Amino acid sequence: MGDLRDKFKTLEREVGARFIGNKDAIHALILDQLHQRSASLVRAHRGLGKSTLMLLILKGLCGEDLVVISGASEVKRGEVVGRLHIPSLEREGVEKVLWAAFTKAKGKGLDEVNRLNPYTSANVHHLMQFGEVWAYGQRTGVEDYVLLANENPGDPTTFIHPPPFYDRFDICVYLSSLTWREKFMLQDLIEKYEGRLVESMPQVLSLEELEEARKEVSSLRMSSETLGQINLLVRDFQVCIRNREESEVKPPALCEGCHFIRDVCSSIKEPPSERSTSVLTHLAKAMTWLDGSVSFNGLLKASLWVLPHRMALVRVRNLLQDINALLDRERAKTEDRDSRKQWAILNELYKGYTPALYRLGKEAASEDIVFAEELMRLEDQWVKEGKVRGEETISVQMGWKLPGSWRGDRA
Amino acid sequence: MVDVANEFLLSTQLKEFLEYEAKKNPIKGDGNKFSWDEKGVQSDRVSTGGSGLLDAIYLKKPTEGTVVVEKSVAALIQERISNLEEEITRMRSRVRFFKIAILIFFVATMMLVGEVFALLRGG
Repeated sequence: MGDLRDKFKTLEREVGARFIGNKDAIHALILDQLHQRSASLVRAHRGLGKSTLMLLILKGLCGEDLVVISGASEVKRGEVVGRLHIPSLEREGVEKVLWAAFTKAKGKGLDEVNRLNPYTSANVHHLMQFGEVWAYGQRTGVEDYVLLANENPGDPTTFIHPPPFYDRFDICVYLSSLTWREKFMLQDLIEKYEGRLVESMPQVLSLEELEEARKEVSSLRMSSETLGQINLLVRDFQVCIRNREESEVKPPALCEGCHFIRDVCSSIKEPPSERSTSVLTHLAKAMTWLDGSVSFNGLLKASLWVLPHRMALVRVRNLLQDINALLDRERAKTEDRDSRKQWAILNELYKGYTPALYRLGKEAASEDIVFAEELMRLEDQWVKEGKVRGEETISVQMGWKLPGSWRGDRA
Repeated sequence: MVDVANEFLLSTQLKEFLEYEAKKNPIKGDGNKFSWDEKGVQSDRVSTGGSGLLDAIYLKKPTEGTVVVEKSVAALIQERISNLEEEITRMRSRVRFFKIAILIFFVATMMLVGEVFALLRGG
């Protein structure tokens, strides 16, 4: 285990030795490789080295077993997956598919992913979703892989891919331009490697070692505290007492007059998917395995890689800074939750109905939607059992409703 | 329909999380009376906790003699009042629009009735 961990640290060092700055982005990309069928996205403006970083990591993990397709070049419809073997068709009348190198390679690179034509991106989407590809009515399974993609969000000649496509990427890291000092370092580096940064990158791990490391990380068990924090973080970004997900009216119009208008939820137009939870869990496991531990601050930092491509904010000035501000509010919210001791209250309420605790719970619920949701589910049960009258419940008093429930149930 | 709501199925991890948090931040209570705060160890943050005014507004609790309002609660109420005022302004402009529309409709109807009478007399 230690040997494998050292190799991953070496990989990070080798990449860092050829890529100046953006250390957090490199670390995030390394962490994301520690689970099966990893898919990472690098976003940066032109010339910031997104393709170089992608190639460095692919080479470090897969050596020569890598194929890069580029949205900037002409990728024909379906060609990325496989093509028909014409001689077989002509001579024997058999449709034989020759699966493309991209399908078979362990390392898969997607350069300028937002310039891939919709047919190619649909093929790649299917591959990421089901681990298989289709061509000419035939399918083939794709084994475990390393997929890295990059794009320039400001590129004018792009296709707008659907949100579910981006949701398939575990993380999305942004690269920033080099500082004055770092520019000198880059010049030294180019001189040292004679401009052959990618070519000089060694394969640090064998594919078997990568598989073994992924298995080890996957078998780790996270503490209930970490899992609780991850689930709370994601739920805070998803929850809406007015059921934003099913509403045709979206924030800010939906939030008019809402009790929770000052909460994090009012800043979110489209919430992140449930996949955020599993990706954050993967990253938490990877941090534990590679860095030795995972803290709440570490999870907040990882959220900056997991959330940007999965959600839409009401007002965006600078996406990363805006999400950062929301994560700061999350930190304050956690302190408030601790000071209200609301989880201790919920713990007792799950064990049984206690009027005095229920009153405290109602006060906590008026400050926290996630807690309110849990309390409202308990209230439903207590109303059915006759312990609480419908009109006493916080859901009736505040006019809140759980998604999918019918108010008549309380009658 | 099978009623599965009678018993909450809590995952082991959730139970462990709640137990862990309950140990970390225990509540004080004797079965009938519980409190969030531990006497003598109140931090500034904790001492500015719940507000009687919010309870009175949202939970319909009777207010006591004096209600102390912390800054954040006052800001929240201010925000809600300004939202309601905006709503009132919007509603007023709608009412004005409808009044004018009704007036125009009334005048048009009267003119039409006048025309009909004039036609009948002329005929």
